[in-house]
Amino acid sequence: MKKHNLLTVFLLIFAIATFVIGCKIKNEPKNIKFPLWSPGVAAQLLDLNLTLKDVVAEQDNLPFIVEGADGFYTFIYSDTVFSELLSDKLVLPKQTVNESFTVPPVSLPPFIATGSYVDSIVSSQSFAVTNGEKLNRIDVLSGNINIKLDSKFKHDVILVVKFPYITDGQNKILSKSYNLSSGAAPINDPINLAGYKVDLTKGGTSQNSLDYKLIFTLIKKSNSVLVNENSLSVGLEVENLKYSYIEGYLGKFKFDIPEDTVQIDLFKNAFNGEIYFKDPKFSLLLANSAGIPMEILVNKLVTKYADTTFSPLNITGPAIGTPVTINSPSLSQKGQIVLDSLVYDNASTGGTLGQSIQNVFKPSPFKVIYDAEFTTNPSTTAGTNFITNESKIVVEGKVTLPMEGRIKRLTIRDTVDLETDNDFQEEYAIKYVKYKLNSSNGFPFICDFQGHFLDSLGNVTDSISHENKLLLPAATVDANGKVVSSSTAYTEALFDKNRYKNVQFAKRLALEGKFNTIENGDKNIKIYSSYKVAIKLSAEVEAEIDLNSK
Amino acid sequence: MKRRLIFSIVLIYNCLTIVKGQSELTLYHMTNIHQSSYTNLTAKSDFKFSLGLPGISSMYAGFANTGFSLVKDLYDSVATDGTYRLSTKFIDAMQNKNVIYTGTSVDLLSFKVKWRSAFITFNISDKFDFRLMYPQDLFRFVQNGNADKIGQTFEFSNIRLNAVYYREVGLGFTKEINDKWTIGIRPKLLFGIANVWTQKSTTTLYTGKDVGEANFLRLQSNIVINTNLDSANLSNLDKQDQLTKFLTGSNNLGGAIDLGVAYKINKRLTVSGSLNNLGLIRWKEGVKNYKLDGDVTFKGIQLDNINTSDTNLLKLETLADSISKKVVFDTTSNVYNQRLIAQSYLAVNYQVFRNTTINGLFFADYFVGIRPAFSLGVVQKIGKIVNLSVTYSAQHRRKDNLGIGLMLKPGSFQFYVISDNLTPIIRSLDLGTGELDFAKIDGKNLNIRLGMNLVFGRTKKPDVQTYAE
Repeated sequence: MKKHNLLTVFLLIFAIATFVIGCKIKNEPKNIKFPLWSPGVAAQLLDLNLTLKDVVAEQDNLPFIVEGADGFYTFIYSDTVFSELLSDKLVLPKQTVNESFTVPPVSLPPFIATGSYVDSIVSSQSFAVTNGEKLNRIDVLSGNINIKLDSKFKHDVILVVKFPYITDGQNKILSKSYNLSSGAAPINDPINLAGYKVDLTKGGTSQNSLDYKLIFTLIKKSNSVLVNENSLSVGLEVENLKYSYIEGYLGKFKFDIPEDTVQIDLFKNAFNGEIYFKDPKFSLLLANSAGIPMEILVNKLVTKYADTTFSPLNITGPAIGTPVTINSPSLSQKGQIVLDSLVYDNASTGGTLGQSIQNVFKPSPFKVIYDAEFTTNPSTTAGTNFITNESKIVVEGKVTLPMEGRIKRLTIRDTVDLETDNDFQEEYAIKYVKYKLNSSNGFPFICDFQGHFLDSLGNVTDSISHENKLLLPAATVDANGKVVSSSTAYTEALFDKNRYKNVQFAKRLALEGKFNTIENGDKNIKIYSSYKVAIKLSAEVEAEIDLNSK
Repeated sequence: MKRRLIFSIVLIYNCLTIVKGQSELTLYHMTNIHQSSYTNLTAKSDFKFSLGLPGISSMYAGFANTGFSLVKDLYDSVATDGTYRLSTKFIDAMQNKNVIYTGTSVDLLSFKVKWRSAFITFNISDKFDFRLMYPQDLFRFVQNGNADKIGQTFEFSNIRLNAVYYREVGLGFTKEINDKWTIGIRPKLLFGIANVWTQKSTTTLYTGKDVGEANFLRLQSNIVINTNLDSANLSNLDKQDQLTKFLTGSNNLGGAIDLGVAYKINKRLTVSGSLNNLGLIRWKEGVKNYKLDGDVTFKGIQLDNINTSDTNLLKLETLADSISKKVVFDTTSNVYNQRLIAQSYLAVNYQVFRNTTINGLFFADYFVGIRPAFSLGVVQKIGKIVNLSVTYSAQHRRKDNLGIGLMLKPGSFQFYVISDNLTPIIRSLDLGTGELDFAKIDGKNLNIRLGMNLVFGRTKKPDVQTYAE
């Protein structure tokens, strides 16, 4: 290789290297500024597709709902059970009998001669009662007969106490013998009567008769004198007597059903408007296992409304003001429960007239308040009644609402607390949010819906819809009021940055829905389990994000 | 830990040194550099023996991105304090399928020797090829969201990553059959080291036309990703034998072949062509296959038969959970074959003067479609020590690529520097001040290769070369 060529090469390499190493870079990037990032996201948030049956199946707090074979719904609200044991109302008072034995002067010589003296008392004591009862039989559950003996004789005494109509399970009469030595202390002997049967008829010839026999024997003791004051006092006390069964005429007495309420939760948020049920029904269901004639008098049957502008209304109908007799089991139905009911429906309350059930259910109340009283043997003073220790009367108040009727301007309001979501507070990032609501309404109601956002003081900061309330048109129904096709509607709500801020700091959301059935609430409709509502809610969000901010 | 560090250094070094992942249009005609035989197997050198030394025989730095131009498409304005105000016009510049290429090739040992009328080449090279395909819709979705695409579909298909690192042992044979024909063949034994391969990728996101439409957001996806970079596998690299096994790739064998042919039409005109990388690697060691075949229609919270009192349903986390439960990858460990990305060259050379050749070149490879490139060039030999090549090419969706190749051979040392595209540098160069204006860089690819070989002997004297006949 020639020298100058070699030199040229090295010079060239040197020149390139010098250029590369010495080359300065202009406009080197030192900082980067990002453009404003404005992505817009559209996504569906909710796809609701529920039949009424779906909703009912998932709710534990809904009333008992009866679905007919064709899917027709009847709502039934039953509440507060009144239950009273009749044995708590018919209480047997304490029975007290006092007897005494003495030795008359004419009997002294034979006593001295023979060394003994015998006497007896046979008596029928009237069983004390409080309500005019005429008792035939008492099967004792618990209770005592206290035998109280006090001898003043200076001689020995033997006393036999017999109750010829009180028998035990083996049909043995109740009998007991006492030996009282001279100078012995008084005796107080409680005899447990549990399991004994007390026949108060004296063998079928009387009532309220408590029979007993006392046999007194005095045995002479040597070196003792007998003075006139010497005696044996006998006390018989029946107390704390509870029965497993009592029979006879059980008297006339009253007891109250305290004021109580049936809550109709469905309408507790109803603010105003009219709801008309074609066949509403309020029932007092009675279950009676006491074999005693009874009548019921309803003192109060009042409806109360969530909308306080409506005054409580009294319902007219059976047993209101005029007592009616209720079913009781006969002797042959001992141990059975006999049902009865007081039904306040269109037929029993006079249809659409006066204070009929239809009228007082316009608007539908959220409470039905009632109180009543029972009277036993209201019109008889004789007869054979019975009560067991389990005999009771149970009362259940029930509102039955077959879902057929119409609604006018029914307003339902509710308020929900809003959680403050930290993610939601990225205020700067949100340019606008547009909510799109596409609904399919399978219910025969027209629904105007509105929601107001409230601050902590209850002031309205914004509303869901500014221009119009969200309107959900009603489904189409056939001549029988059954839905044949759903209606659809589409609504948008735009929340710009300012509105978004209003909503962001709201503490509560006050919701209001106004409902009308078709034809301005003048046509009856029916509610079936197959009715459904479909709501598709989507949101379009445009953000405005400054990536340069720290 | 230390071994993992070594492994990382090797990878990074490979990425930053010798790259051979993309077309090299200028190198094809620099036949006196024996590395040109990697693209042009019928290349005949003036030297009888050329030896590439490990690490320094060829160094490369480069990058290609078909989607948008660097740096120009990335900013709107530059302030005097060096603040770049970024722009989104780079998204507008994209097309549906855009590819980022890079790759490395380290010659651990290479040589080319003339034996009788043939050339024998040998190389042991570590190669890393990286291609990432990305769609414009992906950026559109991030930029604008889907709000303005209601009723339309985002096409996220062909988000593909193909990254392969393997060792190649190649033995090439180039034979001049007669005055007209020259053929070349190079069988290659391949040892797969690391791989991530998106075998299949189709993903679409449809935004329903209105809120009432059932398919409001529908994500359909069919993706298959194969890899041997299992986390459990990598965690064992702390062990000497495992690291050695991994770096030798002895369990992931493959084979490939390069073919070349040249036909001399007359004394001045020659046509040649090469088909390179016809082969595959069979990945067996530590492989995982991730398959997703999903069709998810998202309609928000579904309320059809659930307890409406569950307020958790309204939480964003719940939404995310519901989506993630529907999009699940199936994982298997099946052996798979991955074909190398074949490359083809078709060239025409016309010898204008004794030391001057003009040429035309068509290049194509196949990566989710054919990626062509064209170039026109001239090679000028200056004496015995200088070869100069200038090319003008159209590739990576740009038609203004000016390439330069320069080879200097002082004594037995052969220095060379080659670039397929210096346009971005030239444009950004302020000749007055000698400054390089970073803001004016405008190009989709930028590469430079330089290195040093040792060459010995001459196959023929320059004055009787080609034109002299």
